[in-house]
Amino acid sequence: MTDKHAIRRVWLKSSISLLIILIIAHSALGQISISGRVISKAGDALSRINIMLYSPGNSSLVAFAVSDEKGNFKTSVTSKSDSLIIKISSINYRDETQSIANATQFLQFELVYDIKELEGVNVIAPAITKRGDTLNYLVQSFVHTEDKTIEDVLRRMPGIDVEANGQILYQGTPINRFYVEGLDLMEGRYSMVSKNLPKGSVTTVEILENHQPIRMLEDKVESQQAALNLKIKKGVTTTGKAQLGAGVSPFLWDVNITPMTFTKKFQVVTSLQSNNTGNDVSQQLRVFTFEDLNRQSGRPPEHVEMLNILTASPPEIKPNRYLDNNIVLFNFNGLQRINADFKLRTNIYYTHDIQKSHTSIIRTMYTPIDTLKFAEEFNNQLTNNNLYAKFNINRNVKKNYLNNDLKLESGWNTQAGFINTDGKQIAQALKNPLKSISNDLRSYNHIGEHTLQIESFISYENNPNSLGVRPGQFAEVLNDSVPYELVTQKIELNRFYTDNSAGMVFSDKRITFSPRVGFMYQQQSLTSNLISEVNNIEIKMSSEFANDIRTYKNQSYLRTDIEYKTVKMNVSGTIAIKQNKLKITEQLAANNQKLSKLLTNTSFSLNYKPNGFWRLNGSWIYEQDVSDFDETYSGFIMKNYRNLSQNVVPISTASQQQFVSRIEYRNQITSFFNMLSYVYSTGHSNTINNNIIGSNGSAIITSESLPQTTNTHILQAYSSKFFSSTKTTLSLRVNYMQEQGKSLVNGEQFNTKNKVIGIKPELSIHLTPWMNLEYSLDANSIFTFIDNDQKSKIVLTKHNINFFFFPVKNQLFNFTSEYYNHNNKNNLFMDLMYRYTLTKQKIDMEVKCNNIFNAKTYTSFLANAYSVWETTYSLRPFQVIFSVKFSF
Amino acid sequence: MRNLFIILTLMLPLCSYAQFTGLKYINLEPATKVVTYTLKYQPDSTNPDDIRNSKLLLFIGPNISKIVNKAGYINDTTIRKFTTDAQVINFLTDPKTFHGSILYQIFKNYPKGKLTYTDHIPSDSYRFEENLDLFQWKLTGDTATVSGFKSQRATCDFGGRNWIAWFSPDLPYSDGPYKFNGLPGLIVKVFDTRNHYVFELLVVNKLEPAVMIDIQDKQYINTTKQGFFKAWDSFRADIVSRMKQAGGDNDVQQTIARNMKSDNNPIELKRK
Repeated sequence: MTDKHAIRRVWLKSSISLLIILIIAHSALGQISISGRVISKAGDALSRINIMLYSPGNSSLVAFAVSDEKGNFKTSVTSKSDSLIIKISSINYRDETQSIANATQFLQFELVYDIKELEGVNVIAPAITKRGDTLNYLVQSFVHTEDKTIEDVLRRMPGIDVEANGQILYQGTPINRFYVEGLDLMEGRYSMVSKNLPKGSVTTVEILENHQPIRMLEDKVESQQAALNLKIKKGVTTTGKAQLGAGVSPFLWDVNITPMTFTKKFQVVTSLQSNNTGNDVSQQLRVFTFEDLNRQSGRPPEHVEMLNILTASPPEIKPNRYLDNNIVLFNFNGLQRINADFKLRTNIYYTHDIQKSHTSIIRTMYTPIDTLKFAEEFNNQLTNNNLYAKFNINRNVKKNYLNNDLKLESGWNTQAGFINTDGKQIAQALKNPLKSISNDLRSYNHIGEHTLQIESFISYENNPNSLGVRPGQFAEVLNDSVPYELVTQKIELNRFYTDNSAGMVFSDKRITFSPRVGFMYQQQSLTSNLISEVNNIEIKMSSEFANDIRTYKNQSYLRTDIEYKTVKMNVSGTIAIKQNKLKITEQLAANNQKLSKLLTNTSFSLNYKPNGFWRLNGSWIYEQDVSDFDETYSGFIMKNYRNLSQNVVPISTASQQQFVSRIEYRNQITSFFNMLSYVYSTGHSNTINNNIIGSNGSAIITSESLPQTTNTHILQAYSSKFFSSTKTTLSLRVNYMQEQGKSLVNGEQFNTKNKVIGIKPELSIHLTPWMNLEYSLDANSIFTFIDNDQKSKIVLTKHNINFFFFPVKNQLFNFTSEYYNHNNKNNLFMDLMYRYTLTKQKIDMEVKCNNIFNAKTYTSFLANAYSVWETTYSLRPFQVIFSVKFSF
Repeated sequence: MRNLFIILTLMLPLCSYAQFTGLKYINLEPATKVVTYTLKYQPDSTNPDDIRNSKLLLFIGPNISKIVNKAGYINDTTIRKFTTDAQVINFLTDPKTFHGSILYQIFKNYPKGKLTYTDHIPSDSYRFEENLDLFQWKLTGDTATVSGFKSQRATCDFGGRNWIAWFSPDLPYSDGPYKFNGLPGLIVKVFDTRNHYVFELLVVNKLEPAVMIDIQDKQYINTTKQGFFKAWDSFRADIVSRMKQAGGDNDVQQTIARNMKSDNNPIELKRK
């Protein structure tokens, strides 16, 4: 090959010099040059006109040219014939054909405007959708004996392709829906069905061409994608996926079985999962989309936990390092078509989980004159039983779109444990059952050219909680300083909430204006009693330790969003006006309160993109709200074994402001990325907590009318650069946070300040496309100041190594290691994972070794206002788990 | 409550960068014909069993043409009909929405005598220009009927591959799929000698009414072909770090690194 090329190149070179001589000699044997110009009748140069040269009597071209932007063309011909035929062709001008001499010459063509129709060209109207075309494939005529699943048969059907990842294409374009008997159960994850459904269970495969699944868009939005529908045989078909894992030590299991059932009337996917490997599978059931988060932002939080047993908050390490669990989860997903318009989707899950934890906490509290230190050790067990059901009705027709979610939840949770503190053992036990029901409706209707969006949300929740502590605490206030056996706090909280609104969107080319009006009503009742048990006699405490409170709040609001957009800039603003009426009625105390107030929320945001590399953002938010009115109670409540609280301050308003600015420079051509951001927020309220801390660490918390302001500054910077010569990415992240406020402890008022300084350099080496090594250092310092006097400094460093490689496609090896140094307490973790895939059988096998060095404990540090917590967690021991993933 | 407040405000700047509605387009000229091409290509040069399919639409106007991925074109026309960003976000994040692997758009003879190439590397849009006369076609003298059109054969070297094209002088457009042009007739089939990329004409349709050829008016990174490929090669080599930056966990990083390894066969091997 190379030799041939070299010869050709030499030949070319010499032929070019020869050409010059030949052209001068005007020899009939050599190349001649035909050049010229194409213009219109008006004399304008015509570009992209085809010039073709033929030998007479031969349909094969001998030379060609395409005219340039000045209308010029030039080509050379090596033909022995005496004459040539030149044809000028284009779509917008009449063809010209001439016979010319086979000699170097210059020609000029004047073309006549003429649009020609082409043969073999069909007419389609782009806005009209072809509909109703259904193709039927009989499975029997395509099936081969070696086929196992319906996917294997689909591969044989003309026009249908199945990609390696399971994606199904029709005429080269992926299908947009995969139906079984007209129902879309699996949404995008249809390969789970197509890869598992046995070939014999399907009678016919239907292709619905030009399928538009959203009916409101049927006439508005064309679809060129097809849908696939499987018609199944009579009876029941069951298939599914499974993952089975086991390990030591102690005996570990990790099971996930997901069977699917298809009948003509309904379709079901169920899942049974159980493990004791520290994987909290109940987390996967609460997945929030961006839309969910947005809609829930104004609502009161679900599941208020007023009472709790004391335990440590979860550490920042992965749950599978410390979580000692034993969970069983059952999940049922069903889909049923009620009629052509309505579909009912049912989602039911049940979880049973036992979590044990062993932690110890050293609490240090700083005041200007004192430093208090308390040590506690916790041995707790949580038993959670939760049942959750969601029924979704969806109407998808031309005139409107309707979506209604009805949710029911019931929980029977108990938490119990022992606390060792100051040489004493205290038992704590909490029963916190829960019942809740909510309904969320959304409906979109056309009104002329606009869409009216109606949203309605209603919820009711009932939480009767009871917390028992043995021996009884707070003896000085509850039992004349005489030790006693048991104290029990009982509360019952009932909450009702509804929010209903209607909104529209008006948009111009640049401005979008979306007003929304609504009405919110909230009602709650709280009853509480504190009961002590002395010498087996139950004594109900006086009304000072009891509550019977009704709270009503209603709010009418008008909220308007305005957005202005150009190519470089986006400016948006929100103004909300809320008329609030609030009433608190206390049966047991003379503390009835009323408040009627007009509050506003305002926000403004600016995004500016001067060019492709720079992005600038600034925003400002101002919010007003009624201060913690659901935390107002005259009678004391024991919230945990060492916290007795009361809140009698008149309800008032609180406000918060936040300013965010951010500047970014991203250049992918040089692989250089930079970001700098600054956030400032300030909050103002009229009340402050007064903490009376006892010598044993218990706290009596009351509230005081005292204006206070909190300030937070957050500064972040990030820079990253990729060096292609060494295949290395270097990055650096720096952050600084400062929080300032006021505290009231044991009658003393002082200023608190916390500072966090963090630095995180990172190195990532992409050795080859199949090997990646990463190292990062995460260093943080936390400072606590009381009245500008530094009281504490905590230094946390973490080293991280992550290495993975896949020498061949079906094998993966992953190694991770973390080393922590927290205030001179060290921890080293190392994990290994190896995965082998049997490609043909579609089976994944995996071995995981966690905590290879068998680290026993992990210590973390946390600082807030005037307190510092040092928490030590017991960890899961070294363990090995082998698991297999397959379909059935 | 307060945490949610902070989370939402921190998310706000990220979300509002992405503008989905009220997008601006510059109208170039109306197209009266649309040519549909199928493309079969092999993304992994070491794995001849993994063949991908795609469909491309070539819109032809009197002076300018535009080639786009069909799936992308359909999504684009759908998105233009939405009125709120929430609708667009839901549509784009819907697992059922197919985006296609080809995001480039090529505008031939825009500006005059050149082609404009636009493409996307997460999360920026790029734009560069090249001269139209990229191809030194040689006629081989062979004729045949391809896709129902009387065609002639031509060859050329381009981007480190040897290409064979069949074009039909009966379709008097000097155009074709990808950047291909410069033949005295529409290309009905073009493929490289290793069969890694095979473009074939499926159908030529007349558009009634005409469809506007437009180019999105936004903040492109204006660069050169070399600059664009440098950004793309760095993105591929640095994919694990980029994925981590975007919040992908260890599993996601491993999957994408594996996918990138088997996506090693670009249409232009030589990018001089």
